[in-house]
Amino acid sequence: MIKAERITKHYGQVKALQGIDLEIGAGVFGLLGPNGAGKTTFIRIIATLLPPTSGRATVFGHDVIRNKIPIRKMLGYLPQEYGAYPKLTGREYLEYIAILKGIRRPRKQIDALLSQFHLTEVAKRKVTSYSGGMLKRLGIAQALLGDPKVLLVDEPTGGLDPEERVRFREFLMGLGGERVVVLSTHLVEDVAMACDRLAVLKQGEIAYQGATHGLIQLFQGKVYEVEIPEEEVEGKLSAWGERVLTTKRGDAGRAVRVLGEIKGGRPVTPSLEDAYLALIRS
Amino acid sequence: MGRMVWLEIKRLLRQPTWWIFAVLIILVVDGQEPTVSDFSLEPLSDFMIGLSVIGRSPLASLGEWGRLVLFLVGGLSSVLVNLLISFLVTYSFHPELVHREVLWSTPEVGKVHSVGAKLLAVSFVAIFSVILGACAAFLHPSTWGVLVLVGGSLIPIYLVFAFVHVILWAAICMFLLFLTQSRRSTIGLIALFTIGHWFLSSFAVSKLPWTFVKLFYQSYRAYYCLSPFTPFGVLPTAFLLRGVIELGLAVAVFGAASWLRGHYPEWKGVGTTAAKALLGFGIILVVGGAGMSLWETNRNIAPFELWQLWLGKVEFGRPYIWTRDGRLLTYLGRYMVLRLPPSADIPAWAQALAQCKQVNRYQVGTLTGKGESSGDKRSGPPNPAEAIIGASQDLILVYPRGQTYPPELEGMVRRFRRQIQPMLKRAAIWQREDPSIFVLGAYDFLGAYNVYSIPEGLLLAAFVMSDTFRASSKWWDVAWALTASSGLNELLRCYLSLYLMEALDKGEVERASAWLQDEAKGKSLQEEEEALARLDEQGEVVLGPSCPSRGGLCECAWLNPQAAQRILEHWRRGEELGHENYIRMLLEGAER
Repeated sequence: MIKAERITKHYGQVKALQGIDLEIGAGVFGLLGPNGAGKTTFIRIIATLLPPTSGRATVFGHDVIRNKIPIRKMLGYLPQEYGAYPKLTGREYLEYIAILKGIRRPRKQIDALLSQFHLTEVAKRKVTSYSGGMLKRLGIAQALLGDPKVLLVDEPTGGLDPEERVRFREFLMGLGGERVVVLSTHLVEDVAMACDRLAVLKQGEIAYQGATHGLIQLFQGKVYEVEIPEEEVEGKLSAWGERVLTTKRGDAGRAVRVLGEIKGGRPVTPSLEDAYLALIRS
Repeated sequence: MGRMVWLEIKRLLRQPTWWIFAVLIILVVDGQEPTVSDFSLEPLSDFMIGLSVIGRSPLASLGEWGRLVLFLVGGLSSVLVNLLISFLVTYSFHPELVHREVLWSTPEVGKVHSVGAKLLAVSFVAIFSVILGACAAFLHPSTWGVLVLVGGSLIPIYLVFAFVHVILWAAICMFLLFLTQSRRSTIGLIALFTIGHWFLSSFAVSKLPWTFVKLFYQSYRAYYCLSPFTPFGVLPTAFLLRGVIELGLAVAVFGAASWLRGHYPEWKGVGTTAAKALLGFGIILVVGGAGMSLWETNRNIAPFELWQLWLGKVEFGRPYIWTRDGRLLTYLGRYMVLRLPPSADIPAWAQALAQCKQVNRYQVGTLTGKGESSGDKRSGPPNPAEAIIGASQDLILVYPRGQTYPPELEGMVRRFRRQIQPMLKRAAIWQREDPSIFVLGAYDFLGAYNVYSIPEGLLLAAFVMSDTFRASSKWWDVAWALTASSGLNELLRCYLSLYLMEALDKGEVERASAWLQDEAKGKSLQEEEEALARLDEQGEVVLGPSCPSRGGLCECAWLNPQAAQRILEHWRRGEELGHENYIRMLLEGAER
């Protein structure tokens, strides 16, 4: 259980977080927001790496400032860039992290994780020869060492090819259960597939928190779709401005989804992406 | 922790930096092989310890190789070794500084033992590079002829001391890295510190006016006094305490580095008790070790000056190593040497130490002006410390029975014998059998010459057997010593020296003759110096007004043009009659 109460974090004049109140329970929790919204700052605070300017955060009752070690003992963390040691092999790197996590006799766990993430065949190769996808898989493997109660993953699918991304999401979905998994991303589809609950961060504040389908329902009946001929696209999009959510090619032009009622448009059931964009732009 | 050390070592070994440094160290070793006397390369050691300053020489024993390792981490080459250490430390900790999140979110990363694992890994790789570099000395052709497999049992001790030294510098690097959080700054500061340390120890300390500080520092840098004669230094306690001091410093600096690291934002609030405990423990070791070392050094400095002993004003009541004015009195150990006024009784403590050993007493050499006087050097009445310069001395040599030099020098002595064989053949005219060789570690005891004739053979300073000591000056000393048993006067001995020298180097004899001719003409001092400078430019010249290693030849000739003339006349007669015939005539004349 992660609990944040009125968390703020300031970097000089920049207010990265402004009074965040959040409760995250077991299961996969999505932390969604545009770049610069404060997701990584929040994750770092929970990972005990960054003290908040004010407010209080606890992980399973342990304060992130005063009880760093107990939190770290139950933590698995995959940051955006984790810098695996290039001169070690994949297996050696996992062994190294296992030692730092205080895991005794990690060999079986390492074998299992290597197998789970399809890294067994390359386990003896130096990390420097790994592809981006392999590195991400190795990263999540190191995060899972020690079977952590809390797993924080920050932008995990960046740099992955579509197949790997799908595989990764499926894997995340299977991780829930008793474990608290926080998936921080700006990719709505990751959250849509893997998370039951989410919070949307916007300029350091919580814009929404609750069930994933709840965010969709929030904008039920408020999203309209209209098909416009190609030659009118530029003028219309410019006129509608921030209300435009998504566009895609239609049969006779461009299908545009817009927030709010629009002439000629028909109400549609919003996707999570529509709802997220609507929330961010509203 | 062991597994982590091993993983770190793998990481470091896969990094090309250490290869580069290992190769550089090999190059350093190649240009600077060890000998007894190489351990005195720094001017500090020239200060009263009595070891000579010379260059390259072959590796003579396994013990010598162990000392080479110590020398590599402590001498001028330490600049290279410390740079290697700083590269390794910064490489090892680099991920923590750049991609710190994964590492710092683990519970163990900030703990002392995981930092210690990196410290040990870096130290192992650095010492491995040094050992690899030192092994290059075995490959040098000059080594093959003289190397003996003696002294191997000392190697583990030397390696431990070298390792402690490396750990200390690795800890300093870590401290600087955590302080600056910059690789470049750390490496730059380490280079500055090392050069500064070398400068201080080489120049600044030796210029200090206080003998005690110098002797203490010299004891601290005891590895410069290590030799086959005293494998743990002239003051073994100081050598061992130096290890304690360095270990204490390493622990303290490591504790301070860990404490500093505990102030990183990621580790704030976790507590740094272990780091503080290490810091405290290290300080205790340093203070304790330094205190005991100071006490031990002070205990070995006599409360009197050399002149007081020579004038019989004080008693040599216990084994003091130095006089208060910094003159070396005794060189304790298996091969003990003791300097005494002529005919003075051997102190009871020395007799006790000499039990079951062979004790020889020789009147060899005179007191030189080397060393420092604490007396008043201003104008006024003669300073008694200066007044005794030139006074004769007795050397008490204490050897294990039948061993006139340490077994580690066996190969060197064999080679020396081979080298002087042509001289020995010529000297057979007046000398019945090959002389025994007696070797002294500290040449300070020997006075003006490096080789002396004693009833049983030749007494020589160990460095005379090395390669790079200017060959001709070495051979003049040997020649002069070999003529002593002829029983002829000094002028004739000069002639005999020329004859012996001709067996080794005819060119040297030609140059010496030219010089003697100049002497005989009574040239002015300025003309002399110009002539010498010209000869010096030609290379091999050793004859000169300030050269102490010219055997008796110059000594006779320099002071007296007539003497030079007479030496030349003897040489001409020898040429005319055949030297062997002429020398036999001279010897018969002497007998009559």
